[in-house]
Amino acid sequence: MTSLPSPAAHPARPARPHRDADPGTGLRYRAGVASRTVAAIGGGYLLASLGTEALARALPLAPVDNVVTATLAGLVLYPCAVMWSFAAASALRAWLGLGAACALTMLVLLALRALGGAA
Amino acid sequence: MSGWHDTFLAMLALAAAIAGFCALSLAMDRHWEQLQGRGAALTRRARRRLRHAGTVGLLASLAACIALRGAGQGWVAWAGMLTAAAITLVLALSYATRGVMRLGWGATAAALLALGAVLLSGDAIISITSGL
Amino acid sequence: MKEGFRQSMAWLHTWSGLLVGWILFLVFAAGTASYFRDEITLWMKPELHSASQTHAAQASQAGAIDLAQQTLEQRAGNSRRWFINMPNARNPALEASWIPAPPKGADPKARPKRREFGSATLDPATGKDLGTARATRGGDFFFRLHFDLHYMSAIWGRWIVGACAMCMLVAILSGIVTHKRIFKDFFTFRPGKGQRSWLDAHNVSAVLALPFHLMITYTGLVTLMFMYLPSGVQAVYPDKSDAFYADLNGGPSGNTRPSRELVPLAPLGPMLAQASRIWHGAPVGRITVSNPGHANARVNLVLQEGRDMTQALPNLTFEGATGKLVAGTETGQGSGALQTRGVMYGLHVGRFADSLVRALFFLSGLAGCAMVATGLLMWAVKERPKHLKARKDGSIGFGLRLVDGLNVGGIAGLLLAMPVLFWANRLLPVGGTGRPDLEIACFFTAWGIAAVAGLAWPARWMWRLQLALGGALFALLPLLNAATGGAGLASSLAHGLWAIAGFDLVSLVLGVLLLYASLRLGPRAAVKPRLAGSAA
Repeated sequence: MTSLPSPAAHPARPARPHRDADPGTGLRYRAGVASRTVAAIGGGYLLASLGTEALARALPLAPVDNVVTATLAGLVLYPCAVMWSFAAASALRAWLGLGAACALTMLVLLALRALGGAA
Repeated sequence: MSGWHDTFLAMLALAAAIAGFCALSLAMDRHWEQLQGRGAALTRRARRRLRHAGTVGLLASLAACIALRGAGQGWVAWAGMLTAAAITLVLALSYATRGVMRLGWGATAAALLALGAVLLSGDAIISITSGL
Repeated sequence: MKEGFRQSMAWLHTWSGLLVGWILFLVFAAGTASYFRDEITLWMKPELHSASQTHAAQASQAGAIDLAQQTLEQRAGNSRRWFINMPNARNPALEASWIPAPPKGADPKARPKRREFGSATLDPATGKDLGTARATRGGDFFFRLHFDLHYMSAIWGRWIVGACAMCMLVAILSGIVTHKRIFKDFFTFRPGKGQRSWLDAHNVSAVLALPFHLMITYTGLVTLMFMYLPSGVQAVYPDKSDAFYADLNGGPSGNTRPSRELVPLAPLGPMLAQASRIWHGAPVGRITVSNPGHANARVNLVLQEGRDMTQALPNLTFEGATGKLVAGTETGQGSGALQTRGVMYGLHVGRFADSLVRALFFLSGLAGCAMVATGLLMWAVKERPKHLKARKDGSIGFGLRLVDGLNVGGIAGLLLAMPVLFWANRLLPVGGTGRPDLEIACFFTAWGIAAVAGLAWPARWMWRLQLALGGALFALLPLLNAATGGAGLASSLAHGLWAIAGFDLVSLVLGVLLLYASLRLGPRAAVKPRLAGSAA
């Protein structure tokens, strides 16, 4: 239900084609979709979970408030990760993006855990 | 009696929202043409006036909702009122297109009557300011 | 890039919505009904209809609590926890329930199953047990159904519904991104144009109640968020989740062993009076007594719902043996985070809402059902011409046929099963064990038959048949009510029994709408498909 822009407004090919945009490519298309789905569901949950924990440890409020705020935020992280996974120009980029986000969060988390343990 | 007061406030909220959405919808070419026939165009002034009127209607509805249920719940009630009013407009535009103007004027009249009733049933000023 | 983004979000919107759409329809339908769960329960207990009119009058809280205490001491003397719900606008009766006394040698930490709770419904003025009403789950069935599902453990149900709710959230967000002309199309609905009409209907039902849909989906996830995303709790309260919940709820859960020393419970009346005074005259809503009759008894009082939007209502704890106040909050939980969560929880459950706001929530919930249903139907309508074009022999692929079948069974079938529950409630013999489960079995049996029939013959006539049956069953409910001992419309309207009258009227309207829909699908229907064979 998206209407494409009129031809005059854009060049003949979109500048950066969405690799999975054409459903006619059979196996390659399906593999891309499957790959993004795994990234979205699994990677998204991982990111949400790590992000929640990082926030819960990092926030300066009372413990129960930290947990509540962090978990509320984590619930928003998940759909963002899912949308990224399908908006990325290719399945590979989806994985790379999510992977980078998870890795970054994990690093922050490890630092926070170390700090929390030392304190 | 607060019961009547609340009822009139609710009436005001709904009527003002319907009138407001009426104006806002007719300010769009698509719906103006539905009413007046293809090619009928609104002057820029008329469109602006309709939009202003529409905004006033929606804000009046918000004020009534806040007066009715206080600051927090007032916004929630307003969102619900807007839904009810917008659905009314959609149905009117699709199934009773000719009557949309009358609906708008009727809703405006009802809103003004309700406002009058609210003010007459006392405490209106107090409740609006305490609700805000 | 913009077009690629919109396109990908359109794709995501379609599939995140389609794959779980039928479960979402159930959740929306049952959830919307839950806004009136107390009223539904009352309708399903016709024995209480005449009683409720006299007890809409204000029985004093002091008198009611004494009656409750007497009853509980007689009938639940050995129980370790009592629950008392004071009469309120939604339910004029005094409700008392209790955990059954654990049998000797049982594990003291074991939590009793919900259905083993003892309960009594009392007249708040006289203490008479009104519980001669038939056994039924009432509106609570729909309430639990929409997040626990049924015939499976609650945990499984909540995970499934949670996953579907997350898909719903993704669908809403991607839908907003995809919908280019969200303001221009705001009021647009073009009936009688096949695929276009379905799209318009989907857009209208989605956009006009968009704040509600966003709110209800997100807050639904919030209500169970510590189960879905436990990492925060586990990090900050490692192995101490009890402590977390104590902090969250403003007090320990009271799951303590009763002390050896037996001390009679102090009268609850003065505790209620003191609480009301502290709350500037506001009435008490719910009372929980832990370990009544023992030295370490605790009485927890919660402010009555319907004032604040938050679910985290102010509560006070008293020592049971002495009546002394030991802990509590004058206002709701203090901190911003807890208040936020409380309000979100409260918005979802909607117990704060008065009649007007509840009616508006109900309307928005119906819009949500329409949004899900039109989305599912629209997909089938859009797909059909593609299949016919590709296959050239008039057949359609397996996927589309499956969706067609699931649409009939999942939408029309559910709308048929709901009134069957109410018919079963009135026609099944009263008395005997397992009656509530039998009513529920009728619901699922009807739904099952409709679903199988829908999958077998996903044709237009099946739609008409199921819609007509559902419509007739709904529309005849007011008559059934009067004929089987309930307060008929004439009586309920005359005596101001709005709950019962409301149920009858809403059923009538729903029934007429479904019958009308069934008629509209007939051979003289105005819907003229633009593309060959594209009609649902």
